[in-house]
Amino acid sequence: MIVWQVAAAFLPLAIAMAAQDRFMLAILAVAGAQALFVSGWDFLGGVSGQISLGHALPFGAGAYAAAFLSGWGLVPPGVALVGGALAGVLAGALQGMLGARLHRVALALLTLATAEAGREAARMLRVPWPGGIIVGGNGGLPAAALPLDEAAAARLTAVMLAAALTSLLWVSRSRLGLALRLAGADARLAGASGIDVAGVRIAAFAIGGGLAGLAGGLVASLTGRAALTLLSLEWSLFALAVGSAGGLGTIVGPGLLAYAFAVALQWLDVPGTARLSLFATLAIIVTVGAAAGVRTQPSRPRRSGILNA
Amino acid sequence: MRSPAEEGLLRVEGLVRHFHGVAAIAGLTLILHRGESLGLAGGNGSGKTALIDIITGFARPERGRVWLGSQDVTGWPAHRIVHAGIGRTFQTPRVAPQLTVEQHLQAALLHRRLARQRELRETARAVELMDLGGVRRRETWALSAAQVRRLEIARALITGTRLLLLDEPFAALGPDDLPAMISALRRLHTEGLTMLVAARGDGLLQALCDRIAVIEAGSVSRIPRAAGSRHA
Repeated sequence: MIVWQVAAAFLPLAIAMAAQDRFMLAILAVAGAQALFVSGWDFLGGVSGQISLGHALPFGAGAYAAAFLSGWGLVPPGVALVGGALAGVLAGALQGMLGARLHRVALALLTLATAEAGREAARMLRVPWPGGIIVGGNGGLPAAALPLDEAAAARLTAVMLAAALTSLLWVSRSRLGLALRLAGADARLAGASGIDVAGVRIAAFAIGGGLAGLAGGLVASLTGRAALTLLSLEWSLFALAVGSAGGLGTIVGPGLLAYAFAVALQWLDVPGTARLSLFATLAIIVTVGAAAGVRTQPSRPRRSGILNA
Repeated sequence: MRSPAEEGLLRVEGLVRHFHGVAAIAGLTLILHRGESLGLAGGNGSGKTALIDIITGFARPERGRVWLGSQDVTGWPAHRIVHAGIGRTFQTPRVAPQLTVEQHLQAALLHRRLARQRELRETARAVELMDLGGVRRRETWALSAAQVRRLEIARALITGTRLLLLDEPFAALGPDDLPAMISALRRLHTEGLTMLVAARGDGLLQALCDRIAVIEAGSVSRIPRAAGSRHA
């Protein structure tokens, strides 16, 4: 089972290696970053059972941090990605600390509120930029592009995605993963088993946030901008809808589905307003479908689904 | 004056706790001696579960202290209480349906950071003690009520507990399962484990406990001495 999952994690890399068309390679590069973002959400929501509606916060924080570091020339764009990941870890850990004792709906609302607060803070942000200009606000921050052609960029994000999925598979089967699964299933049971529930929950937020931050940094470096829209509800819903539809907590499923979904959306050039409706509709279908699954199998719990998390 | 360590393994003093304006625990004081098996008999809403919740860190007392030996563990979080050596089961058994019996036990061992061989030994011992050998790789949604009860006790034991609090361990067990449960608990007691067993009636407690305390309206109303009791 694990061998096939690891093999599947490298499927995007195989596609990126096979693709020749520059337009398609550019699409694959961004799709790899977006799939990385969804993988972080799936680890948080699927493995640790903490459904976040604010995964856009570490995503945007990573993009802004990477853009600031590379745009100001403080570090090379490649190193700025590390800064983006660290910003994501911090943003995720903050969400985790605030929500460590909250459950389900309260946690989802709290994460949504933190992301919206982050978006508004970013909207008000004004940053002096080299050359004497002021950037920020609705325009976001300009970022230095990674010095890579389309093929190298597509392969880089696919390698990062494969590495992230493989690492998450390992972590989900590790001691931390077992503690997270138990805490996600029943916090009181986990506490009675000697597990520091708040601690492992914050760790899950930090790991998920780190991947989202890395993904945000990649998107900013690939598109040349940390856009304000990266902090929007649209992205949080994208993670929730695609992550759930791909098989909550299966790690590889959500990653691959997000990759395919991101490619299709870019290929079809679906506008932002339509994406929000699309993701919201998909979230409704997944949620209702999961509830129906519970009703038809009363004696056996579902292995995936938003409501069961 | 005797120190808390000399007084007993567990000492609760003047505990008070209200839920929704009603006194669940009203100035409760109790001592549990090392190696003792104390029964706690009381009806629904008498405060048995509230007391266990407070001792195990799942609820905070408004007043009063909880001592484990010489250590004041009042208000500690649940996982720290477990690390200190207090294990518990729940009135309504709690299991994660998607995890196997073995995974539950492995999770409860995590905080002890044992070597792999020691982990395997501990797991095997708990499985053998609670007769879970035939279902150790089975997911818990497929277990019977009796097997779930036994898993709960195995899970509590494997945390390295020296004081086991059992909340209604006989509830939902059929007449065929009761003797095995009583026999398993007796064996644990014989091996020196200190236990507090909460149950609605004292019939089954008589078969298991050195003393039986009766709890009513959140306080202990009487503690008769059982025949052959080793503790006053």
